[in-house]
Amino acid sequence: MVPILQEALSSNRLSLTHRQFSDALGICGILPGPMATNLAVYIGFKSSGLAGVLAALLGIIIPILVVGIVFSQILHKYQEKPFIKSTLLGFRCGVVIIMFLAAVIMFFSEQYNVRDIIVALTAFCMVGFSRINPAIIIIGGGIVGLAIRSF
Amino acid sequence: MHFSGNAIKSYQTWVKIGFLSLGGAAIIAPVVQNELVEKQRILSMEEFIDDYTQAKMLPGAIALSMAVIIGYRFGGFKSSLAATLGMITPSLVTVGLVLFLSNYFYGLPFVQLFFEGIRPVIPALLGGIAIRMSQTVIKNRQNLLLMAFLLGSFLFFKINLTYLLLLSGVFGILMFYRKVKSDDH
Repeated sequence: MVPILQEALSSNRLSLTHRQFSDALGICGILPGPMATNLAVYIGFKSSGLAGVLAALLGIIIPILVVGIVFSQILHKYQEKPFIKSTLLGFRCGVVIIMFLAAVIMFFSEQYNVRDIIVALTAFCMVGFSRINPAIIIIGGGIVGLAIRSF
Repeated sequence: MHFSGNAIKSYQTWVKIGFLSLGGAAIIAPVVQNELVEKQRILSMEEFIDDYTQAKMLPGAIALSMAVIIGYRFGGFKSSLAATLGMITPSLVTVGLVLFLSNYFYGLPFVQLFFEGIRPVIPALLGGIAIRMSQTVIKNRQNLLLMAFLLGSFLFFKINLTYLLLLSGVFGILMFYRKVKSDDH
């Protein structure tokens, strides 16, 4: 999504400066809610006010709604067919593995110090083996990070 | 299916999920799993895994796709639309607030440190939820075998994760088609 936006930015389809764009990325990545809709609201507003917000939100929602609903309808209709059912059984194994691998790749692609690793391992065990709300773990991680970086 | 047809309940649920999903797209899976599978108990772990897989395969933001797909499961189009609207509400509120406060908040040093503290937690949550999901999936030997095979093909052949998912579907057909078909009759 970011490269597509950058392309729109450089071809002047968005009335936004590069500085505003990089601010938008920084802010929208950390606020709650999906980054895509955050960016739609932020960039929509910066480039053309409330009408821009509405247009950007509709632009991002409509394709996902249409594709998602059509896909769901088809799947719900045919999910009991052996061919689809066995594919889904395979996907269940696949998605678990790719999530785990994505987490491992993400973890090793960043430079963490020992304290970060301890925080990460604690969070990992809390999600993997308890029913604690993940939102609490994220906020807790933020507070611990804030505390160890402040002292 | 407690809130079948109840668009308002669907909207409220996804507003909550939206506000709780702090720190990017990777967080959406654990948050949705905790809310719908553990707390509300309206979705089984298997259903959650299936819906997550579908959302991952569709183009566009995964969080929105999940709202659309899971909303649809519980009450068709209306509930799906309500869930999507629920998911954009947190963006409107929080981004609106930031625009209103004109970037004052992001410049505060403690906000930056807080979000730097979140960084190591994100892969941990993603890995944790994968472990959670694997507890449901590893119920029979065939699943375990398939998972070991997929892990092996990543380690030895460096297969890209998207292809790995497609490969798991192909092997699903090869391994389970006969059994599913005989259960059908």
